[in-house]
Amino acid sequence: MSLLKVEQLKKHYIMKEGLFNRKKVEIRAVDGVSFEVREGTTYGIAGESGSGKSTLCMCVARLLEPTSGKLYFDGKEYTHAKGEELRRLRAEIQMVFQNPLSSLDPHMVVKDIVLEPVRAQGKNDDESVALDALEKVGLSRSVMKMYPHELSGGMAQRVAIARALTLRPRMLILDEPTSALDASMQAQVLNLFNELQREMKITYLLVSHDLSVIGHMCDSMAVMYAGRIVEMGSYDQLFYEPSHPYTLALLASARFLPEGVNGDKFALRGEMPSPRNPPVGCTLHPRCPFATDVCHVNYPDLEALGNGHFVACHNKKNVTEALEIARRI
Amino acid sequence: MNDLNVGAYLVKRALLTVVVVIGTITITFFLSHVVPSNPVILLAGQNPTPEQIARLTHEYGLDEPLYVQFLIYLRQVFSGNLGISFSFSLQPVLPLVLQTLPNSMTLGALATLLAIVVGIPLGVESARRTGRKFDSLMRIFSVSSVALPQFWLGLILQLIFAVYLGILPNASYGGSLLFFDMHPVKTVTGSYLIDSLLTGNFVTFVAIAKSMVLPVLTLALYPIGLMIKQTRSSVMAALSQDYIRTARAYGIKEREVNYRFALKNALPPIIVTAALTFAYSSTLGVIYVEEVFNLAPGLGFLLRSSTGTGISSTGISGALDYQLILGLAIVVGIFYAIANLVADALQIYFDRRIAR
Repeated sequence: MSLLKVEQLKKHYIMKEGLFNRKKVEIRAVDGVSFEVREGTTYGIAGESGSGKSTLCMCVARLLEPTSGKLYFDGKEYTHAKGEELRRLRAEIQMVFQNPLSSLDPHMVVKDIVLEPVRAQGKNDDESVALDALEKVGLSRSVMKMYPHELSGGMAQRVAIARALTLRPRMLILDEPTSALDASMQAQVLNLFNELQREMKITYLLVSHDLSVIGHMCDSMAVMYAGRIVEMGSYDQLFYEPSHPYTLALLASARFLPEGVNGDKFALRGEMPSPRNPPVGCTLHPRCPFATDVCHVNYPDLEALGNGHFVACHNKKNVTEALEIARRI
Repeated sequence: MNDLNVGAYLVKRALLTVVVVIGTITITFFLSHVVPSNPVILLAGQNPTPEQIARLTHEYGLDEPLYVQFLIYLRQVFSGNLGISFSFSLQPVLPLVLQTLPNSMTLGALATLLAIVVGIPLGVESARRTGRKFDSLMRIFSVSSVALPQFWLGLILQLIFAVYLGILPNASYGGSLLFFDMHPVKTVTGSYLIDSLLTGNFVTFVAIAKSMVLPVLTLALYPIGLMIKQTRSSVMAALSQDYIRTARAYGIKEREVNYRFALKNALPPIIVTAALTFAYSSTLGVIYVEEVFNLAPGLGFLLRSSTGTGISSTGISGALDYQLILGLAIVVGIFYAIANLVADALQIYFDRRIAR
């Protein structure tokens, strides 16, 4: 049973520019994304900055209105939920953001920060609720009276997590939850997420540019590029049988390829294209070492490779072959 | 929370005030003496002979070197004496200023209150609707209200509400120059509006209040525009913060997000604006308004006569009344310094972190 289902989600922005805002440019931050997250598992979304993964998160959390597409939580559509219904839903889906310090109100003490969600939802805001949540994330009573600027980055992120937990949500959206922390803190916070999942059966939607974070946490994942999912499947499928040039390049750049395989030949050229003027055809073709003529014309459909592994590439066979050859050498 | 720290901080700021006032005195003293002018002509009567002028100049020490005059003045100020006014028949300056202050402060306080009550909500709503029609309208309004000259606005309001519609009095406290002859008000604080209320003189209170509607409106327009602009920009900055996004994510109502979370964090610059608005409206802001609406006595009138452009008790004008100018500068300087101090204290109250 999938807890979260996203169907053909699109978020387009209209930018007005030029004299008197007469010129309109459409920016497709998220352009037709579909996936499902099973209850109690962790779903990872990988991609470099500007790929639309944060916009996707904000749409799923209903902090942004999607342009089109459908969102289901626990089988119930909530794409256009409003008022009370949305507020109740917010108690079930919580978010933890990238920058722990700036996501805490600087004028509140930790106790009030942690209790704010239960107060907003009109639930029990007893001090024990805050203590309980802080204990879960490994913080002691002594932080209760501190202001955010007195906390370290790791502590601040733990406070942010504690705040997300007080409502006992069924799903947590983690938007780059560790990228502002140093390496040892990252590992601690990720382990904390894993423990909390075992203990409270929380479902995670984890967004990160860091494949090691995704690898540490996720059961299944999707790779996004320029607002679309280019490959999705289980952790094993994407890490050991990548079939999209972009997935391959991400793995190569993070040294996740098998021992002895030279990743340089899979590296991408140049920069991510500007979203206001995306390339015709496959958005990756100007940078792709596997690009052929057809890539300049058509965007490839997401095709099933079996066992829930999907990939959107005209030349997927060449990609797997190239990886195979590289492995043998 | 450490009360000792807060106290030390405020004392430090208060000491700074003394420095500010000495600076104000120095600059005002030398600036006023740059202009060639001899205030004794205000005393010498009609067609004085050069000998009479020379005698009076010597008598009041005005022929001493400038730095000697300055040091004498400083010594006098620190013994609590602000000197005498040449344009008001040698009355002492301090009581003269203190008599006019309550009425001008009442005008300033009402204008500031209006600016806060009207300006802050409009600013918040404008920030919420950035780039939309309401926001554009507010931006046009705030720029034009800051740009409109008060003396022009005052006249237009008089024309509309007093002349054409006839629903509000044209000028003067109580609506007539003879008002206080018929309705005397016992002096308690020195402010007509407050005194009439305190002495339970309700009819008089209403008449005075009515006569103050147009002046306060005129005085408040500029601060309202300022307040809208300031609130808009600082609330906009606060709304883009991560913790505001987080607050939305856990289901805080939109109203609360805007007014409790965003406004609270946007408050410091708004407090400073409000405090300076009060200082400005009570002192410099009233110059035109008191003139246009003939609201005497007031600080604005004193300021005008001290520079030789207003009325004086001798009927002769055209000379600088040095000690009155300096006395007003000191009072205005202290007024601004206190307003800043209050703003500091309020900021500490709203943001406990500063005091940590």
